[in-house]
Amino acid sequence: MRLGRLMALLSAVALIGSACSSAASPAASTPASAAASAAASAAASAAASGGGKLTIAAVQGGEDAGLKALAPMYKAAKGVDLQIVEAPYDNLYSKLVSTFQANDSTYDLVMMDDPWMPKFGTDGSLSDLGALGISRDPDIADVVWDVGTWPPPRGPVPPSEKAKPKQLLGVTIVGNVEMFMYRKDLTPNAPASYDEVLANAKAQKAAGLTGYIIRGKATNPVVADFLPILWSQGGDVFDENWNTTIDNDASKAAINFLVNDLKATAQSDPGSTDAADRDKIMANGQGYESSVWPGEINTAVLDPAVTKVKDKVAFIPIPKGKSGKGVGMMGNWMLGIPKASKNQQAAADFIKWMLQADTQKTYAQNNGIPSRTSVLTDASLTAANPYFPVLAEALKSPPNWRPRTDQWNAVETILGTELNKALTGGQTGDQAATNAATQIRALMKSKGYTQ
Amino acid sequence: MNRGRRSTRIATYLLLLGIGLIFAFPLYYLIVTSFKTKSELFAAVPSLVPQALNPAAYESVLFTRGYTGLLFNSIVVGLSATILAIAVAFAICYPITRLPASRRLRAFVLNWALSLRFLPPIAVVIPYFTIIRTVGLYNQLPALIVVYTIFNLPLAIWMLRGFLDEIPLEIEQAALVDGASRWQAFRHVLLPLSRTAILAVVIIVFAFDWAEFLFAFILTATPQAQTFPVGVQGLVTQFEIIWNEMAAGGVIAIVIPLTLMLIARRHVMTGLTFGVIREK
Repeated sequence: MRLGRLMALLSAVALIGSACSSAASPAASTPASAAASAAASAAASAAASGGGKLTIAAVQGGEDAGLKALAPMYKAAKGVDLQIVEAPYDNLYSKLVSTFQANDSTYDLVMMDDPWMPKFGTDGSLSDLGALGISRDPDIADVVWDVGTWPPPRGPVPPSEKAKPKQLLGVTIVGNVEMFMYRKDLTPNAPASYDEVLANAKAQKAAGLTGYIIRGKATNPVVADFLPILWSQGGDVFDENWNTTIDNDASKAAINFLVNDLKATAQSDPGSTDAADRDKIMANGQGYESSVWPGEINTAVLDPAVTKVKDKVAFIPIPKGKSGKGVGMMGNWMLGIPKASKNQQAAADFIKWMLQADTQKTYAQNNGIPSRTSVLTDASLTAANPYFPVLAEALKSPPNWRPRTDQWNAVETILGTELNKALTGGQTGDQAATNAATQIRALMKSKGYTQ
Repeated sequence: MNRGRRSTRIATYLLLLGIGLIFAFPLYYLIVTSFKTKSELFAAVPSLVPQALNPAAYESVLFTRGYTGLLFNSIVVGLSATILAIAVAFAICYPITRLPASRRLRAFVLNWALSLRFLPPIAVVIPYFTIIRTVGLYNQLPALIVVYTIFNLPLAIWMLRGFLDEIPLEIEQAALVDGASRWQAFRHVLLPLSRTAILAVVIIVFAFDWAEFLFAFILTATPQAQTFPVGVQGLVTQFEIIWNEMAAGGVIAIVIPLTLMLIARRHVMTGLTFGVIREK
């Protein structure tokens, strides 16, 4: 019977394939038995002595380009295979949360955006890198070490974390600080303040360009675009005691500056614009200025394959606001070692190797964004990466990090939703401030941050 | 009169053409986008025709990014889960259609199967994650095979049951009278007569398995067990949407189920419409 033979063949193919794939899987079951423990020790020793494998959970996109370039070098130098498992930004976070909660040992190293540190630090998901031999290096800005330290060494600390000893849980591998870009061919002088940002934007809008490109898509994108404006204008989301301040006068003024003043000079649909759309407007020569992450520059704005504004865009630190300061925002990507990893020392050895000056230089030559000052200011690298010296300056300023609370994702969702609603005309700036503040206050109270 | 009829016919054809274009355009645009270069994707005004048939996006998806491994996983999981679902569905449908089962038992089994189908995957994904972790199947293909089998079992049961109800009991009874065992009657009489049903179920269940994302995302962690949809969604990055590669991934993802559907569309239509007229 032909059907019978076909089914038998399909079954055989499927079962053989399944068996092969299962055998190849690095994440075989991990029962808490002596045998598993022995196997784990053997794996750790194999990875440490060469010939082993480290599995790294990484964010998909330009941020892990340098890491991928280093993998064959590390294999050649140390004999250790790096398996880089990529996931998109949002999915990576949820994947890490579920992996840590399950105490799964699949990943030996994980890439983390710095706002995720409070969640993973509070949950105790990561190993202390200090105990594994990683210590501060004066050639790397203090803020880079501070952002990977939990509980945070400055600023408000979550109530549940105050008694914990400070540990280094993450080391920056993508020195990401939000900067500002503008068309230097149109206005030779950089805007020194947000008043000048607005004045220039109005003038360029009148000339037919998008004046200020707002990255206004709901939740994370609009909040990332807004926080440097908020801080520079003297506002904030919380005070030192976790009291919500997003509806105080300075914060309201900052919100209205974004949703009224800058919006009047912006593209037609700021509420649905994300970074990729902003980069397209800028690369096509249709926009004048905006905030920008380092990760957007070489992959889009200045990508020779697409840009029409080569040599026409300048990068500067965030302009000064009414506070008298220009405050950039960190978005550093860090590497951490999950407590469940069975290759702790081998993973730490990789971090140490990656932080070496020569490795960092190779990393930068392969689209990595380094954090080492001497590499960022290396003249041989600045032609291809004109923003490197600005980044070095921004890291030393230092920039702000997003509030160090494990509730930040929820706070960001609230604030980002309300700001987006104001940008799309659903409410006024004042209403956005009031609505966001009401929800954030209730959240922080329910989580024990305030009375 | 003839003139009026011709006008109506032309209007109908025009309407159908318009509807056809509306349905075909996304597929056309997907294919066109898959051949575009990055500079074409960055153009201020998007074009409907690529400058050249550039296969770079396909090369990147299949080879540079190594998604061939994910395709292989998708095929293995889809085939295994489909075969398992059909085997289990037969084991359930045979007694309730061929043996003297009570109406109550029959109704209970069918309603139970239906209730499984109405269970939203998101409601059970966390318990499944915990169970799969506990039994040591996390990040392994058998985990997906088991879960997909469970989720597509109701569909297989209801489709098979419709077919089996249509095959007269007398044919099998004649084989039994001629000295065949129950197994022989099943193997040599019922199974050949169910070919159309099996083919229809295989294609529809495989298509569902092929496109599944949620469980594949939650229950896997590395390319050793990840399926193709998990890889494709990874092309939306924080600062960039790699449109041409996503489109190439979409085209590749469409090819297998679409080919199967075209080859066996008659059987699939039969499978989907069997037993809808009357309840036996």
